[in-house]
Amino acid sequence: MQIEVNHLRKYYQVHQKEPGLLGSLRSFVRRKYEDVKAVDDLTFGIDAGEIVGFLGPNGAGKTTTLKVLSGLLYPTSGSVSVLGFTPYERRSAYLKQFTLVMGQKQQLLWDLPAVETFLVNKAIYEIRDADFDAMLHELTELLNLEPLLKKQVRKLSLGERMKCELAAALLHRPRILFLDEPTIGLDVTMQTNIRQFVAEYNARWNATVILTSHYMADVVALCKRVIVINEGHLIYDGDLRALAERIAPYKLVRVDFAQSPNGHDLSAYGEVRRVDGLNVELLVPRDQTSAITALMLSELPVADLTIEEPAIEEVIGRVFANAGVEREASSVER
Amino acid sequence: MLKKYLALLRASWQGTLEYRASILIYMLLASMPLVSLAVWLSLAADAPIGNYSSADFISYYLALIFARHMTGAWVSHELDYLIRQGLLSPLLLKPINPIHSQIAAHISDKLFRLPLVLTPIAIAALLIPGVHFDLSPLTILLFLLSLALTFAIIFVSTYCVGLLNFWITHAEAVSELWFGLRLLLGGTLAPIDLLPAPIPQLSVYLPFRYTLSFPVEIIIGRVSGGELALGFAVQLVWLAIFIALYRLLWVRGLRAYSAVGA
Repeated sequence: MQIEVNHLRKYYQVHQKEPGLLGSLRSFVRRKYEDVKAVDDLTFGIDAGEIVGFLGPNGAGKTTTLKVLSGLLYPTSGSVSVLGFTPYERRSAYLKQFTLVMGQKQQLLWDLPAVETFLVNKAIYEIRDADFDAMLHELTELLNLEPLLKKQVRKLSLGERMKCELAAALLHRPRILFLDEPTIGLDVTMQTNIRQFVAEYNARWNATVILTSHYMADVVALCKRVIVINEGHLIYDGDLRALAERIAPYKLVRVDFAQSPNGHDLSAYGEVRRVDGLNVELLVPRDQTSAITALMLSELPVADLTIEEPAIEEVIGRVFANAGVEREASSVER
Repeated sequence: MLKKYLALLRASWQGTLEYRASILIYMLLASMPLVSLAVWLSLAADAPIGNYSSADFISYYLALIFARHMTGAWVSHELDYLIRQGLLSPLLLKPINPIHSQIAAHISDKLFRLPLVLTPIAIAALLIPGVHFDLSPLTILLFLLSLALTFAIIFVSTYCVGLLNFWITHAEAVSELWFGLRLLLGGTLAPIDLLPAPIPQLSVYLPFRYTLSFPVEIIIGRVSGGELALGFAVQLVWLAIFIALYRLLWVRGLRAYSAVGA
C-alpha cells in the first residue's frame, strides 16, 4: 500500500462566538472552544497508480484528510503513512514526491508571468534541466499553456490560472496527486480538459490520485474506486458502480410508445422523469422492476422498452440530498 | 542552496521592479528621521547639545537614514497576511522553509534602494560643510558588518512578531509596539547618548541599540576599542536569542496552526 490511513482522527478546536456586540465582549473575556470532529476514525489504504474519488457532502472531512496526508495537519490520533513517510514530519524527500492542488490562488507569483513561478519551483524542487524542459514541454502541450506562460498571472482568467496552477504543481513530477476540487469554477470544456489531463498523467507515470469534486462527472470519468465519508466517518469504500447499485433503490426504464398512451396514468408504474412525445423515462423500484415492466408491456402500447442503471452522479447527488447534509457549495469546507 | 537563492532573488527582483513606484513612496516614509534632524538642528543652532554640534547632527542623521533603508523589514505584515488568509499552507507544501523567500525579497529590496539612497546622501555629505564620516577601510568594514547584523536582528525579530499571528489574530499591535520602542530607544528620535540616564548605560545591553544606532555610531566614529568589541558581542548575542526564539515560535506555531485547520 502506498497510502495507509489507520483509525485517523482529527479534531479541531473551534472558537465559539455569540452574535452581536455583547457576544463579542463575552468572547473577549472568556473564549469558549468546542471540539469539532472533522475526521473520526477513518481507515483506508490506496495502492500505487489508483485513482480514487473522495466523496462526501461539505464538511464531511475530505479536505481535512487531504491536509493530513499532505502533512499540513497533525492527526489527533491514529496513524498515516504515505510512501513510507509520516506526512506531518514534512521531510523534504516527501514534499518532493506529492502535490496538493487546492482551488485558486495557491502558489503562482501574482505579479509575474507563470513561467517565473515554474523557474522558482525548478530550483527549490531541484529539478534537472532536462527533466524540467521535458515536463514543461509536455504540460504546455497537454494544457495548452503556450499563450499563457508570458502573461502576468494577475491578468489571467480563472480557468487560465487554474491550468497554470496545475502545471506549477506537477513540474516536479509528483508520484502522488491530491486534487481538491481541481475543476471548481471552470467551464465545461476546461473541466473536460483537466479530466483528460489527470487520466493521461496517471496512465503515463502510474501516479496515484485522490480526487474530491463537486462535479460528479469528474469522479465518474476518472475513478473506478470511491471512498465516501460523511461527518468524518467512512460510509463506503469500493467500486463506483457497485455503490450506485447499492444506494440507488431504483432503475431507469425507457419506453418508446407505438401511440400516445393517453388515458393511462403513467405515474402508477413509477416516478415519471421525462416525457418527450412518445418517449418516456420512469424510475422504477429496483426490486419490482420485472413485475412492473411486465405490467407495462401488457397494459400499454409499448413499441420498445429498456432497463438501465440511473446516472451515477444523479444517484450520489440524491443520497447526499436525502441525508439533508448537502449545503451551499460555496460554504467553508473542513 | 545557492541555486535556490538565486532563483528566489531573480523572482523577487522582478517583483520589486513591478512595485517600484510604491517602493519610492516607502522610501520617502523611511526618510522621516529628517524631521527629527530638523528639530535637533533648530535646538542646536546657537550652541551644541551634549557633544553634538549642528554638523554632528547632520552626519548622524544622514548615516541613520542610510542604515534605516538598508535594514528595514516588513515581514510581520507579510506573515499576518499569509497566516490570516490561509496562504501559508501552500508554502508549507514546498521543500523549502518559507523564510527563505522572505529573505530573498528583502535582499532584492535593499539592492534596489542602495543606489537611490546612497547618491543623495553622498551628495549631501559633500556639499554640507562640517559633515564627516570615518571612512577608513577598517571602519567601513566594521560598519558593513554591524549593518548586516542589524538587518538580521530586525528581520528575525520582526519575523518572530509575525509568527505571533499563529496564536493571536492580527499581531500588528505587537509589531507597532516593537517598532515604537525601537524608534524611541534605537536612536531615531534622538541619539542614544542624549537620552536621560540610565538609558544610555542600559542601552549597551538592551536590543534596541542594535536595531539601528550601533552601525551609525561606528561610521560617525563615536564608538571604538573595548566599547566596539562589547557592542559586537552584545549584538551577536541578541541575534542568537532572536534566532532561538524564531525556532521555538516556528515549531510551536505550526502545531497551533494545524490545530485550527491550517
